[in-house]
Amino acid sequence: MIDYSICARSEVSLDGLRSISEKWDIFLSAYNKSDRVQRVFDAVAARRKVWLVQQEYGFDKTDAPDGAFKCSVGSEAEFWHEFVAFAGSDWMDGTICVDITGFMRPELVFLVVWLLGVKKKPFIALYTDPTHYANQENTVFSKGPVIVVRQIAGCEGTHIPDTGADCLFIGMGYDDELVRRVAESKEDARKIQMYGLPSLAADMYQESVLRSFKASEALGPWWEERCFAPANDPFATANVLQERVQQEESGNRLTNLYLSPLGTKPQVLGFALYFATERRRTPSSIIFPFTSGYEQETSKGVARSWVYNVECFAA
Amino acid sequence: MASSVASRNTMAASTAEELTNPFEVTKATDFDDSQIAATWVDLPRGGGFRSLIDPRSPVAKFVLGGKGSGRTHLMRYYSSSLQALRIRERGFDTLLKEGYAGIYVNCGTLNAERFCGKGQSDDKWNAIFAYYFDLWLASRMLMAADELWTAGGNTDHISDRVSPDILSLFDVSSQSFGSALSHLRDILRELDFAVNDVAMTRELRVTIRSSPGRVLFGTTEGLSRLSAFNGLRFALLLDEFEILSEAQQRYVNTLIREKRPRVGFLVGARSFGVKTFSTLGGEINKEGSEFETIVLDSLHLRKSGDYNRFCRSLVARRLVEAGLVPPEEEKNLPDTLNTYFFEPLRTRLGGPETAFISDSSIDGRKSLTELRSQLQEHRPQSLTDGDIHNIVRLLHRPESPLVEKLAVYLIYRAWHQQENLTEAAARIHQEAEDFVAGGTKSLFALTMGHFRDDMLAQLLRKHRQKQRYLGFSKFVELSAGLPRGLIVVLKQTFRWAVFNGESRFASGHAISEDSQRAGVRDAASWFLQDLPGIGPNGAHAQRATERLGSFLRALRFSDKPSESSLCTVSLDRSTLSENAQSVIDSCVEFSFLLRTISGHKGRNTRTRKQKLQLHPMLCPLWDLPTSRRGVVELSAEEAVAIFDETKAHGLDAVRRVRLRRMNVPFRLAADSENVSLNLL
Repeated sequence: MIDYSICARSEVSLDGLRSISEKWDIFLSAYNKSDRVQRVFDAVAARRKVWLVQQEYGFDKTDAPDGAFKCSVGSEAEFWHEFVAFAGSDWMDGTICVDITGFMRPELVFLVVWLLGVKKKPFIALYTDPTHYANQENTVFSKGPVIVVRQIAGCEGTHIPDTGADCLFIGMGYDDELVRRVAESKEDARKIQMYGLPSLAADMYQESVLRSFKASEALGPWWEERCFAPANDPFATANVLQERVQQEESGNRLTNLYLSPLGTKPQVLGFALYFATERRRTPSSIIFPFTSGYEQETSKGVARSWVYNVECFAA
Repeated sequence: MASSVASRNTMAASTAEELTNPFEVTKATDFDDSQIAATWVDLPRGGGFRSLIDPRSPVAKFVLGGKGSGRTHLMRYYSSSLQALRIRERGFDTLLKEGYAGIYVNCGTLNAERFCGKGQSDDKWNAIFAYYFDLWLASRMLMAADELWTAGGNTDHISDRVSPDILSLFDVSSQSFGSALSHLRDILRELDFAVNDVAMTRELRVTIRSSPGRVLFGTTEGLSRLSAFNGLRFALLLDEFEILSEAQQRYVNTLIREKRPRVGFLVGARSFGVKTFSTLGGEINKEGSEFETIVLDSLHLRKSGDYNRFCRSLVARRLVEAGLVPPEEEKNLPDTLNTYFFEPLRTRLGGPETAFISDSSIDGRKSLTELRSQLQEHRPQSLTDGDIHNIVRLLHRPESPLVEKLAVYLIYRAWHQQENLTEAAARIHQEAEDFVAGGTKSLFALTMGHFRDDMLAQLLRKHRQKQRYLGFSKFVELSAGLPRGLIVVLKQTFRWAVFNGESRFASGHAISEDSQRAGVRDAASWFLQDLPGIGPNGAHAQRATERLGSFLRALRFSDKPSESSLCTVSLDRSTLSENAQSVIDSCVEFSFLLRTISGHKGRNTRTRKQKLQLHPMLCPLWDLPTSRRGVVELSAEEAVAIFDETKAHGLDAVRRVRLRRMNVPFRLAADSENVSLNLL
């Protein structure tokens, strides 16, 4: 069994970021208006720094910084293909650091699976906590209704026609509407919810459980089937997923596995890491509820940053 | 095909026995196969479901219905997994007697959304989808055959016997020498790799080895030749058809049109989930020719007596399965379900229902004190204090707040019609006396027949009591043809009863009013949140429904509601904006509104208007009645303000205009403010 916790992770301040980032060849960050994205970008001293503007944020041309990569098409696969054309074919040479804080989950997942699963390229991921969210527990992240629930490109797997013991793992976030739609999209599957515990802040776990109750009809009799992984640790997340999936495989029989990372970005990274390493060519896929847009600024302040060294593992 | 595993049983076992909620599972997808069988209840009369939806039929059937109409439970009951259970109980001959093999496929398991985009043409994707669909269904068919064969006590794989036939269906010879099933899976896997990799590589490399339909129909023919399946129809039970795109549905329509003997189609979809009836060749499949349609919730609504009986049997079965009632009592249980839920006694004068009004004096009766204040403020017909005192005294009914409330309503009517109020009060007093004495012919008695529930509702509201949606019969009414709605109400009510420390389904102990009310409220919220599908239409429909609900509530609780039992509106679609019409259609699609077929002839015009009833399950959210009687004719401006989001800013104004006629001092149209809202 792979132990993802051998990957290094460390906490770093803004000042500390300056010195460690001097060794990075390229730094990618998804542009939004949050302090924790902008101030980190300013602090980082990588050889090349690139803003990526995602259209879901709805920025005007004048809002986006000069020199930023702006994608003209919608899907996650096209986003990265256009980025490669923008950045040049040598963008992957050297040390890559990705600030995952502001990225849309589908784009983040695609990148991780592409780098680890296809290109076999390790990279560094950075995530920064805010001091607080804009509206505390009422902060809304996604804008507008869910348009479609589908597999993330490149993460579609090889599902089998025997669907008698399908399982959906949901990385739980605050948005009960997203949880509801994902759960409904796989009605036949038993649902297991992964909560971030310890959570990023003291009461976030309790809040996410309360929110998930609103989706309890969609989750069905499994709405109390839970597992837990630290909200800021992608490696522990990957380990917990691995262990829990194995438990399902040996105990209950598993036909098709669906993963849906709706929680914190470190958890999303953990889901993508596990999938890219162990599930790519299996009856497994990552599904996501796509909405039309996201809020441009959902948090205030910069608390601590986490640096994750994401390795390639041979499955 | 293995049935779903024991995790559901684990869930049930993990809950303390005494708290087990017999209604915890509300969706058929959350039942394993044995539970589907155990909770199966047929329609009470006329040959049951089989007479309407027969998997042996050569004619394709679209089984439509709102979310929770019971489609999936029905289709799974017909599936090979459930047939296998019956074979194990009664022998393999059961299959031949049933006359079909049901191949259940949930279209969601195909993950069909991936067959698009990624820099490839639609034509390419459509061809790949068709191939994939054939292989997937053929695989399911072979799995079903094995499952049925194994259930009969056989140990070999019957699908191996048709392997040579199936392998010969591929245009390009295969290198595989394994079984047909493993060969199909290998090809499916190849396709999955190719589809998956195109996102990374931008190249889609697929070899299509068979023409559309060939593998699917060829598999059927191969299986049909086996003596074990001699004479059977292979019924393809395609559930959640609405998930497929229009192009993908066109392929399925083509298969329906060109199907071979021994193949049948039963296609389950939400109402309005069928996006097209056209085929790849450009023809259009026609109702009555290539297919028939049945809409489950409409069927239930048309035959409400049968639906009531069906619901009672359903609940009785659940209670027996949960061990709350002994099996020998199941037969009589449907007729006694009402006794498990508290309902205040309904009497002619409404005494028990209005027990919350303890003060019988005039000053203790809010309806009277309000009327008195209004008469004093507005002084219609120059009434003196003495006249007002006399009117109030005549309307006062110490023995019955309900009769008194209706009397007040009738005086408001007289006020609106500019009758002499002193004379009207005297007349109303006489008629009320007659009614209390048992008379049934007066206008008072007739009005009480229509407005009783509304008057009670107004009394409850005035005295800060919650509205009542109580009793099993009411719960059935709330569900309006969607059995899942009933189960959700019962689930939530049961939960509240547990929380409130009440006995559940114990003889002599009825679940309290509080628990029922809380359960109904939670179920109503669920209905509004969960029923819409994905996409922007759901949000628009929710908001429009909220506006309609609050509009109707204002009318119901006005001084003089013009219609009784207000939960239905009529409107002329031709006068509405496209936005409004589209939102109305979405509301109907998501079951927020029920559309009557015949429509409603407008009072003042000869136009045939569309009649729309707010789904009963939603009515508690706005304290509205659940039984349909009166119809509010919406003006074009009102309809647009309610249903067109871009005009919703005008809703307050149109409501004010409408309420002027219904609230003291009842300004007539000629007196009302000339409001031009420019909403049209």
